[in-house]
Amino acid sequence: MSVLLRRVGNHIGHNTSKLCLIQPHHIAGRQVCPPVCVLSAGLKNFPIPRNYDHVEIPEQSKLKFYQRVPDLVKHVREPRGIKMLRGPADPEQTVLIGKQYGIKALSPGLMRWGHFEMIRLTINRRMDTKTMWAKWRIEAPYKPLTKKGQGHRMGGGKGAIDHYVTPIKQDRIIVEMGGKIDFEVVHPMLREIAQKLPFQAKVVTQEMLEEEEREEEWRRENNQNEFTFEDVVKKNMMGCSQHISKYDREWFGKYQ
Amino acid sequence: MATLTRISSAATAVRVVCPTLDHMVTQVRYRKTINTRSKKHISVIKAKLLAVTKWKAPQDTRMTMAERCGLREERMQETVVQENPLRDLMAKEARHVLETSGMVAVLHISDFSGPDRRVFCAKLKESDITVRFWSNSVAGLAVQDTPYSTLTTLMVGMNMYAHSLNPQVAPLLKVLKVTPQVSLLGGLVDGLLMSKADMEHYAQLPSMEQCHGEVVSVLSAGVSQTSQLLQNPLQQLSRNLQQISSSA
Repeated sequence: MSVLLRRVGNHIGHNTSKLCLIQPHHIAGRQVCPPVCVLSAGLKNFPIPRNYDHVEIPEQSKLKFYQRVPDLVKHVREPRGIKMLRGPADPEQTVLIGKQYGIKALSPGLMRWGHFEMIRLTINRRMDTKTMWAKWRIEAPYKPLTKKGQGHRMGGGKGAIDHYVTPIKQDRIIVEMGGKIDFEVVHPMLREIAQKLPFQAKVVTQEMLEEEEREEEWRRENNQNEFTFEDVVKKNMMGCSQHISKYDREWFGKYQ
Repeated sequence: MATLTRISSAATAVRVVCPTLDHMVTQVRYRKTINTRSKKHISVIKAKLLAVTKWKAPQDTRMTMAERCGLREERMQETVVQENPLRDLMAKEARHVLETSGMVAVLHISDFSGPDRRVFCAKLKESDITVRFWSNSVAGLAVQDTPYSTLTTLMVGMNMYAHSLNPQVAPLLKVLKVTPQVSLLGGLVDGLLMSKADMEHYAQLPSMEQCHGEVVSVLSAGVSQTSQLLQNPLQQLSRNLQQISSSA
């Protein structure tokens, strides 16, 4: 173990900006290498700004207006359709097309016209059309939700259509932004929106998504537990199939 | 999985296998509800199985908590020195000075600023010695691939560098005698790495012409001695004959 530490220590010494070698020293008879990151007041780094020449900004770079009610000849009342909310979103809906910045949903939910307007006005007010572009990744509200009048008793058929919503599944990208700008410029406005959405959401960049994928792969490969929930469900260990739902058989505890 | 403990009852079995049940309740949309604030209970068996099949991290072989709380090992080996163009530029300048000057002395500074510093620099300027500052990382970079890379041992703490075209160690030492805040660590004189004692010895050496003269005299001493020995009996004989002729 001490041999491994010495190797790691010397490798660290070769790579850090501090040019004196990091020597392993002894604590209570064991050889110990000091930690890697050494904070020291030093020369300020003026990093070269990133190159965004490959990014094109379209003519109409602001978010489009979405209607409150779809243009239909006949408005039909629909069943609740909760399976539109269950499980993960389609793989193409979880990827950033512009490969820059966006908002990702971390839990399922329903978005109303009010949420759409909030997003549209916040972004259109704050963005600079010459250096940024923004794009919807979701459709205008199309799913009708009914509601009975206030104070009425049960019965008398299904209620009338009250409003329209867009169902959103987990891991879906809501809105995308990009342009010849760094993340720090876009982060405040996207964070403001993510906090106001009716489900848990977070601001993501392409690098963050790639990092998460790598992290997940590493976790899958380096699991020291010989049992996973997937094994348990597939092999019906401990007779657990009685207590496992059909969604666990498909998504193994990741999605409800 | 867990350490071996004596299982005496069902309760202890549960405690051994899954000491804490994290998931007892989920946010689930069940039946016709879209409202997620009402949570559904998970059955105990499912909760136990979820606890038992949790992800386990690989054992951390690092010793101190500082290391364990730091980066993962693969990430540590990926760390790269930050590119700093300003530092590279300064190191290039320092390397140029190192290569073109006849003397570069490494001085250690303690409590030295303002008027004292200006006086010190002015005194050295009289003998054409300039004093410059480079941080340890920049100086280390400058010296890295040169044959003088052992100078990095001196680059600890607050250092200044006195350099001149011709090696002028004597004037430098004279000024340093009067300034106690500055101390000489070592240096590079005439292409040779010297310690403080070496530089003091170098300052006391005579000039080049004198040395040449000394060397010439040493070399010719043997020759002159043999010629004198050979000529001595002849001279003695001529002196004796002169004496005899003068007396007679």
